[in-house]
Amino acid sequence: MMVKLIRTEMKRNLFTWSTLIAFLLFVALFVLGAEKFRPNTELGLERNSYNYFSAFLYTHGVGPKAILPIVFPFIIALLSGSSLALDRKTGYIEFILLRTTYKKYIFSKMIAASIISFLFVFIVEILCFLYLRISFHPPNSITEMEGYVPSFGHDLFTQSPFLYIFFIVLNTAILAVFISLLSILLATWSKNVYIVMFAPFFIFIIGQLLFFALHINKFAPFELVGGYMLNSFEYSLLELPIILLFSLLITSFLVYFRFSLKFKKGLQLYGKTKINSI
Amino acid sequence: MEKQRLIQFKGVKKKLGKTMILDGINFSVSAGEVVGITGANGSGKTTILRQICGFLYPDQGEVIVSNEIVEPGLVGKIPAGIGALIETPTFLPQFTGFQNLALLAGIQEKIGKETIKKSLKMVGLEPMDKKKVRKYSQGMLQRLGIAQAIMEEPKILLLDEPTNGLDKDGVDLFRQILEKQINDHVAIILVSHIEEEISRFCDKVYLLKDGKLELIQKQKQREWIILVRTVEELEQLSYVLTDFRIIKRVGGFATGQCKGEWESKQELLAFLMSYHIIPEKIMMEEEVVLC
Repeated sequence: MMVKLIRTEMKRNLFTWSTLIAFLLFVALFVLGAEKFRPNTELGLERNSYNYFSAFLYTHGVGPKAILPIVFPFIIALLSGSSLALDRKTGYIEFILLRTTYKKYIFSKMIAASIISFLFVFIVEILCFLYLRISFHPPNSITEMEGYVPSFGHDLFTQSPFLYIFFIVLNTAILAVFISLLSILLATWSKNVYIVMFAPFFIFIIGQLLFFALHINKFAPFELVGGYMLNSFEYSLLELPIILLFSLLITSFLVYFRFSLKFKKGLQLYGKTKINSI
Repeated sequence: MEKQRLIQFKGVKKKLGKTMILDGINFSVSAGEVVGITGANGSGKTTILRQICGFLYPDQGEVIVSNEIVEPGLVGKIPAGIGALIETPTFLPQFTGFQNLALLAGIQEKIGKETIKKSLKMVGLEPMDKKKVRKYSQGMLQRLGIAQAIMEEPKILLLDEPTNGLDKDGVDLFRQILEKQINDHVAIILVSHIEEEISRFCDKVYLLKDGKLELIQKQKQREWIILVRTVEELEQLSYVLTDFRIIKRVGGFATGQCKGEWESKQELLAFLMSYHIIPEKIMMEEEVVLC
């Protein structure tokens, strides 16, 4: 039954206007970032400075004019984070809970949202990189690259740059899963679909300021989107994915715990009906 | 032989906020029985349904469904299955009616596409209609809600204001659906604030007032024989009366039979005249036998 439930969840999340908007936004911002990076004079055609690897890094959050990393939390929340809020708001949750247990319901929501956000980011980023491969030149030499050269995983980058890109895409996809789970967690508090969609973005902003204030800039939210590739902090290769996976697990636990607590108190307080209309 | 009690409320108390909504509720519903609960808006009728569904839990007492005490996680596992339509039904707006039901049916996989189509036809909706649910009228949504509740052939059916938004044809269809469910020995609870409406459909009717449940209709309704002059009047009777069926002519007059808890012929006559129907004669079933 769980597999069916997950499949049902994925089907209803994929065929929505918000998925289409998320896709268009992602691609548009990626291309915009790349075009901001593209040199506008023939003098700027130095392949060691302007190539598809540098373009990818720039677009991904290293460059000052890259907007994608800032909007990234909103795009992911738009994609798969609002379905719980929608179910609660409309009362559709009751139809589902008549047919399955609340544990299977919330697990299937989390798994479906995770799969969608992971695959979405993974596939779209690969496609965007392929676009950069077509529209930018390769570097003359990886080891002699200038400008936007990553400090994170530098050895991997110089030895196997495509594998490096794959690794970055993987990190970003894991971050996307975390954001979608964060949206679902927020939906255990609020039934407002717009709050659930926009809140991760504001959480990232507030988190960024907080981490800076506490001098733990290394793990500030927007650094984890793309800044980590070029900043001065020294991350080991596995440090970031481990931190992201850990955050993901904590968030999953919180989602399950909160939803169970709310459900056991009573769905009426949780669903669309107000006390004065019973 | 005593029928199996599928729903039991034993001393159930429930407070919502500062209000004691249910104050010692006791009743049961057996297989094949139709129980109505009526009361004013806000009296707690829907709360009773939600407790059976496992969306709410009593502060005191027990709600027993299919011989199991309702607790978190129970509903969704009950083999008998519960079909419910509580308040205004809401579906996924970006899908059609069929797609919505298919998504829900896909959770337990008890039924296939053909059964879903059959359920839609039973409620008067076209299975292949490409219209998205966001464009449905109130009546169509209600019909889809009823289809959702019955499609998996549950043994317990909970319907909250089921004829809300339905036109005359819709109410007739609902009556037919209800008859089928009764024949299938489904335990049914109908909730409505319109007492007259549920009296027509239910064996027993309770009034929920100030947190207390009072039985206001105790037994099965009497059989009445109504004689009319014309076939048109017979048709009118079939619209107005539940369980109405045409029987063999009596004394040369077109004759029909119905059930009702009217205390006397005069009461039934007054009821019919409120619908501008003036019968030739009204008899109880036993009088016809004696004739």
